[in-house]
Amino acid sequence: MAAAVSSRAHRRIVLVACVSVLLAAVLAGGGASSSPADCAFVNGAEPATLDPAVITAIPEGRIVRALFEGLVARDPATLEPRPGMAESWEVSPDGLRYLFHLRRGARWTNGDPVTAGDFAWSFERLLDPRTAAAYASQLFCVSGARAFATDVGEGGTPSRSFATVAIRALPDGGGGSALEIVLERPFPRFLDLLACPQLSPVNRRSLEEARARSPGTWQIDWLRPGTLVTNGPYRLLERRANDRIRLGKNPGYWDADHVALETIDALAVEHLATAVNLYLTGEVAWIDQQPADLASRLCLREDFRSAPYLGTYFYRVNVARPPFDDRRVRRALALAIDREAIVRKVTRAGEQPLLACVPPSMPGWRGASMAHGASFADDVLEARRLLAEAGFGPGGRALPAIEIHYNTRESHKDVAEVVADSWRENLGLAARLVNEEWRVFLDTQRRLDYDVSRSSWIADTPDPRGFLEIFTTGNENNRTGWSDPRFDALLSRSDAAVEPERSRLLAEAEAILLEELPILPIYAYATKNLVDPRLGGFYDNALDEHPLKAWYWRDDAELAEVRARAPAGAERVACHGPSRGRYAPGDSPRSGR
Amino acid sequence: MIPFLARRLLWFAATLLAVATASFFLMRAVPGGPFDAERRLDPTIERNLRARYHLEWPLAKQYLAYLGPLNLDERRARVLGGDGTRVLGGVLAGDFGPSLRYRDQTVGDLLGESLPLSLALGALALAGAVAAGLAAGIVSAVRRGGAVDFLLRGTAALCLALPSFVLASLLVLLFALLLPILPVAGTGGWRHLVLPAVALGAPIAANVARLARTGMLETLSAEFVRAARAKGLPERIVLLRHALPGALLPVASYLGPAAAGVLTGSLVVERIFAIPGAGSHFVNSALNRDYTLAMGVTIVYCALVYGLNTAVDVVHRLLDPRAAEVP
Amino acid sequence: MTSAAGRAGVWRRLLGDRVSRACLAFLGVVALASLAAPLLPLPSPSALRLQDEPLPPVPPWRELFRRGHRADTRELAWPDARLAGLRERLFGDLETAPWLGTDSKGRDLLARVVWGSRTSILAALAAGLASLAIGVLYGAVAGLAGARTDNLMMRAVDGLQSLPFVFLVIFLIGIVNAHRAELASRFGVGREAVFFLVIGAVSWLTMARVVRGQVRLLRRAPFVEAAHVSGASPARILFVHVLPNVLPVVVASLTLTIPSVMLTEAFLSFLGLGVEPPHVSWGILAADGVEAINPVRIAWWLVAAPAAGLGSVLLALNLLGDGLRDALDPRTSRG
Repeated sequence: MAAAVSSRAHRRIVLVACVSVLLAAVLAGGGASSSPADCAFVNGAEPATLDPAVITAIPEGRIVRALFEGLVARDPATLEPRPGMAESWEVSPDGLRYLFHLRRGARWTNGDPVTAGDFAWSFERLLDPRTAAAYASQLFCVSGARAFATDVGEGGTPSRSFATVAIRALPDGGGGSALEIVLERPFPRFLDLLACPQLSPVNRRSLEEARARSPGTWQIDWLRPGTLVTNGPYRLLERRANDRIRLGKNPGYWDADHVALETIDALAVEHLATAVNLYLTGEVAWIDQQPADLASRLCLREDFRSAPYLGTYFYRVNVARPPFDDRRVRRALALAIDREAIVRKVTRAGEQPLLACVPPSMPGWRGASMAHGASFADDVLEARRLLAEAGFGPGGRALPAIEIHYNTRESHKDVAEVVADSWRENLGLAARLVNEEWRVFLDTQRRLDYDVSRSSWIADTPDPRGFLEIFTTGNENNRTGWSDPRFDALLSRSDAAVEPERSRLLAEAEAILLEELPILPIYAYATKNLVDPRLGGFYDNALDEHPLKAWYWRDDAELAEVRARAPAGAERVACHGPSRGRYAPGDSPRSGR
Repeated sequence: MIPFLARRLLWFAATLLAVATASFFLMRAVPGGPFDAERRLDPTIERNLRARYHLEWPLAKQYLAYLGPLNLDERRARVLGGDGTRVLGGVLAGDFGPSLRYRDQTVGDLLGESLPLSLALGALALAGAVAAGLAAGIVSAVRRGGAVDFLLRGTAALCLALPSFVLASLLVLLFALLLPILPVAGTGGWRHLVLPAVALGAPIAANVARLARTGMLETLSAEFVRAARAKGLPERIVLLRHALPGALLPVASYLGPAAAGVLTGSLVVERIFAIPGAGSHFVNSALNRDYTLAMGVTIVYCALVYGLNTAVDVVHRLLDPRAAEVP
Repeated sequence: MTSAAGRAGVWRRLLGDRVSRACLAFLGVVALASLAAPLLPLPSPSALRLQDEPLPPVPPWRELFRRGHRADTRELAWPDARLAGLRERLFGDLETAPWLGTDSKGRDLLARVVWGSRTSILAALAAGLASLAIGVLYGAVAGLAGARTDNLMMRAVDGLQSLPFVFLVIFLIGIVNAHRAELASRFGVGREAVFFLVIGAVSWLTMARVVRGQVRLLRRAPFVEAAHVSGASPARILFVHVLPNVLPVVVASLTLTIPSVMLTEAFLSFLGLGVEPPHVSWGILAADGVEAINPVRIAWWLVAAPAAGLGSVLLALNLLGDGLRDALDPRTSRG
């Protein structure tokens, strides 16, 4: 009896304990429900960091562009340079000296004025090898910058002083400041470069205060939501890893009157189907990726915005490994890829077949193209002929099975399957697909332990050189083992040239690349944005940049007008968002304009 | 009980050390590093970045610095980073270090944000599953052979046979998209936890139902139950006071594997419902070669599993004194 | 105490139960279809026929067969290659119509389900074999050993169980990938073999724990004491006396492990860590099917097919497990 009683008591205790634990857990973890933001969008992967000097990826760029503003900003529609923190600028006739007049009255969120000294210090920080900034090389066109960044002495500190770099903060009339930058050589794209988020200023005082406060972890502390000091249209309100980053309008921003949305949430959602569901239920107003399977249905909707994008998808060929060292074999492989099928049946979001290295949508660019026949059938015949000429195929040696490497992702697998299929059917080659996890894949590519490896390249600025320079000898992004001194020479000559000579030289270099074919171009990217029709200020452009500053909600009248102007035939979809719209204090509803 | 718990604690420390060491070295044996990217870094920059996290040190030194008290940084004034930043204070000092992938946060921050959510979700799923499963199992046993029994067993079979991600997607389709009564994904309140908890708990509920049903059936046919009925006790008392405890024992011994199942199942559920829980850190830290976060997650997981096993053993000893023989 | 007569009794009892008979028959059919997959007149599971959308199922009474069979593109092992050759001769151009529909790349779902069962069955076999070979032995040895050895062995199992399984998979696959070429040429081991090895490496732990518990209880049984006193060697005690008596527990544990392994395979495939194309598995099919569930276009057959396949096999295994437990239960054998 006693045993029964004690076991009953035991059980009761256990039960009560469990229930209380459960309640506590649910209450604690259920999470405080916060009020919804004015607008939310899916930002892709969680940003690795918000330190402007160190960022590399697109999701990070989006947030940094909202939080910080550099000397120059980009027009949301045309990508032309517009005044940012610099109100105006002058360029010397020889194109070497730039003088930026800083905007008076621009302030950081901690009240400090934004001065040219901030920019000089931030650029020094960017170039300092101790910061380990991936994009430091963007500033190497500035006189003395390369030497400062690469001449490293004891303990990794630069052996030269920053005074050797031609970036100087000068006083400007009336208490303002100006920034003087002198380039090594004239570089017409310099203003575009200054609009990159990596060249945003950073508030020196906040870093130094963080360093004084917590010497051990200051590099993390200064980036926290409470302490991060910014100068852009938004400031950092909350951040939760893998959940959301909440941005709030910065009332001290110089153009705050034209910023419409009070709060914006950037969600980190990895699973594409979930992102689509979030969009379709109206939880988010913009997603930039969808599962390829749905593309054929989604592209009929009015909210599907597809535009050419400055990105390329290609296969690298291991030029160091026979038989791929034979140019004819590479060309045969390139010709036997059915790009139309891939673009129409696999990716299906408006991508274009690519026969070049630089995407044709590059503004103001007319480049070279890979020589091809009138139709795919002709190309296949030519490919067979080339293989035979190289001594392979029927009557010659058998080609070993080609391994196509790709990183784990459905879309890459699909493309690889189509390519392998085509090579098998048309050229009689055995092809094997090797799927590797991302980092292993990169490692394999770097060690040149592959036959054919999938790759893509996205532009940072609308400059064709970005696509070509990675194939110079010894470039860390080459990873094909290809080297051609003519190509290298043309590229270095283009550095010293001005338009239109520069473009001509680059096109010539591209022609060489497309003869030698260390890469097999496949398609040029297109954006596949699903944007709520009610969201205004979202323009399609070749860099797929959509600064949050320009966003606003349209009211019903404007929405109707936009729909009336849109091409007919697109499927109407439900809109979410406030029906009265939400406009910036300095703007009025735009219907009737 | 006390000596038993003390012994377990000692073994826990030893196991933790062994697991941490094994994970540490295994992780670094896998090709690929945390800072690899398509757009490869300049070698000098990459070296500087790795040096900031002491990835250039010899492995043994990294290991010791990670564990702790040898605070090697402060002995050397000049470290790459230039200002003697103390990157790793050591696990024994409670500092898991900065994350290599989420560079604005420490591992402590990340786990502190995500673990409570995962635990809440898991607890909710488990509690719901046990409650639903027990109820289903008891009803099924009582109305054995009837239509209700058939229906319940069929549903249980279905929940067991579908992978959790299929179930999750079906739930999303039914209750978030076609009938928009629950949110489709994300966080922000208890309503966001309902569907994930159901998806997580369904297979557990099914197993609990089966075990409870079997246990209940066995007990219901036992002597003492027939005696209780013969005494004229109301059926409800017979069921709850006399028969139910027999059904609880197999369920209790299943709770250990059930909780472990919830832990692993949460990986998929958290991905589908975009819940920023610790489950996503499991997979992603390994894929991103985020050594510090992966170590933190391993240690926490080890502690959880060990704790769960110990708790289950404790419950066993309480419910069945014979089990004390098995240490 | 299982003697030959006892074991025959178990078998008889099992076959006597209607449900168990049906499950055995069903599983047998599945295994046979899986084995004979290259021989069946199915379309190729991996040949691409690019189209815009997945095609819905065509019921067999509407269209039974069609022409235009495209040969399988994979390199098949020689038994499969022989069967495939036989199929060419028997059926020639014929293949079944898409009775279960196709996916968006034109691959027939029925063919993929049948071929996919191979991966799941292999995973189950790997787990089962590892559990039986390693787990039972390890657990029995631990159970019979002295307290200190036993403690050490079980703490090792604890430690291994505390390693997150997903980590192990990722790391082992990553390490193997790095030496992929050598492994393939020297040992003929491919990525799939590694996958199954990993599954096996992790499945034996629960079995070891369960067997060890049972053996510890059996240790005090009179017949074991008697054998010990009469001078039987530890090996003899282990193999002749102890192991046959842990059979019920082993069977029970297996019937729980195998379904869990199949679900684990599905889960790994969802994360992208499973077998790679052109191989197909139910996990990959389920993961693909999940992508098809959205309000824009519901291709329900992409989920229904693998779910039905996985579901029916798991259900059969579970019911068979119940039947086996009943058949092996000493209470029912005596009463």
